[in-house]
Amino acid sequence: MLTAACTSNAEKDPDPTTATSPAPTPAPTPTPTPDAVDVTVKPERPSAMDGPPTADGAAVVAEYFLGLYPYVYATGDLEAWDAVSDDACVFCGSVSDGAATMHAAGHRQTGGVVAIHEMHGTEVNPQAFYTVDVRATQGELFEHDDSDAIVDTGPAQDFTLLIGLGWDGAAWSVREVDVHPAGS
Amino acid sequence: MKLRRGIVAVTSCALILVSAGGALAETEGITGQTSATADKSVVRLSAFEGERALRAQNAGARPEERLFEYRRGLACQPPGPAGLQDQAATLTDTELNGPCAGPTVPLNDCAGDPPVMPLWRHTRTAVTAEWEPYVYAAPGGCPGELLPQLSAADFRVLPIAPSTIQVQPDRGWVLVNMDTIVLTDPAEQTFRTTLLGYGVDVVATPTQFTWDFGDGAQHLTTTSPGHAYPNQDVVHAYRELGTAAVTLTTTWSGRYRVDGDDDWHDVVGTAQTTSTAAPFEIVERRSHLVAKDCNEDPRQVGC
Repeated sequence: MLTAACTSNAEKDPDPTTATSPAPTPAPTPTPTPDAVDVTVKPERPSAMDGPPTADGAAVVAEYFLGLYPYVYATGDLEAWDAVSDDACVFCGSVSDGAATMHAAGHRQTGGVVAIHEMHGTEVNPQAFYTVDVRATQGELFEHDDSDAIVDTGPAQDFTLLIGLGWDGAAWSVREVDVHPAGS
Repeated sequence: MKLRRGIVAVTSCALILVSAGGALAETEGITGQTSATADKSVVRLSAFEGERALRAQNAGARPEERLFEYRRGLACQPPGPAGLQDQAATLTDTELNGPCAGPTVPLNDCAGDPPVMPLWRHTRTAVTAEWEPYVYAAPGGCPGELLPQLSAADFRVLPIAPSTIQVQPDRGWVLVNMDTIVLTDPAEQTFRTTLLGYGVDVVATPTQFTWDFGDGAQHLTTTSPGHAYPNQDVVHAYRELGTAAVTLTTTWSGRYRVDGDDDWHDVVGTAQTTSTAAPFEIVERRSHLVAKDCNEDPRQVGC
């Protein structure tokens, strides 16, 4: 009931893939739109994870990281996320905690696929530190309870990210993420 | 902080939220994650790392042997609306590549300190080859922002060992109305920690001592750690018989040095530790004339 009344911002839908749909059928109750990406399927670890450290490699790792985001909320499987997250990364830890709490309560989240519109890797300190600018949209989010009922939804959001990645000589890690909601 | 759903949606749903008794479940989108976004921490990390790269360059290969080179310079104002000037995607050219077509991106106001320009990097394929144009590497900022800063909160979580208290005379009892001497060891303590992934040396120095003599008397605050007899400078005369324990609160100031930086910086703020010495008796002793040394004849009158 709560969510049904809140999801009428159809005109704000920023998803470019649906913007040209001829007749979007307004759903009376929130139903997860079938994503092109099944968020319960673990994203494949890219070979760029093993280096060499380059700005382009950093961008591939950042894309992988953002692909893991909906996966950890959908499944509660944090292994790959934690493996690519630096211990000091506040954003990464927030996601781990949030997903763990949600799954401990028997809930899960679907949707939230991150569509990357533009990304650009920058070599800041060769062999050591890289940044990746990302302009992206995260799709609508659905939180399910233990009976699989949708208990909450979140709207799709546009944002820019600045992701800082470190290379320690053998592996990449995400050192921190700055998020700027679009228009802020 | 969890995601707050879009402001528009919340406003339009306010009545329904109330009637639903409050929504406990919240979806977790990227923009709702706790992060140091407000601090622009990746921007800061980039500034640190860029500064480190620049320092490494200046300490490394000779200029004529370099295949890449960092330099600070003003950014040309990118076309289009002025946006996030710290983001690489919007900073594409620098006056290091030649005069800008338009204005340059203004620098931070560093409250009197000279602002630091953004960092640019150019490469060449061989020492005989031409340099490629400079490309953006890292933001500038203010001088103090180019290395991580150890906050008072960071300082306070260090395991500073509380000061040890020495009481003189040290025999389990002291005399009423006579000076009791207290002192502590003012040794610095050194720590090795990390800050945003950087190794940091920290030195904690005791700067102020507040003595509570445990008898209700006003606390005594000193900058001296006290000295042993006969050079004592922190003393207290107990006025009542009984038992007391001395408690010392030590205020520590800190300084730190980030790896890659030659300078020590002061921590803004202090830490405190508290220690309590073993309790002792406050006793009265009266002098009497006795015939012989009491140690030789403890049974004689007056001993």
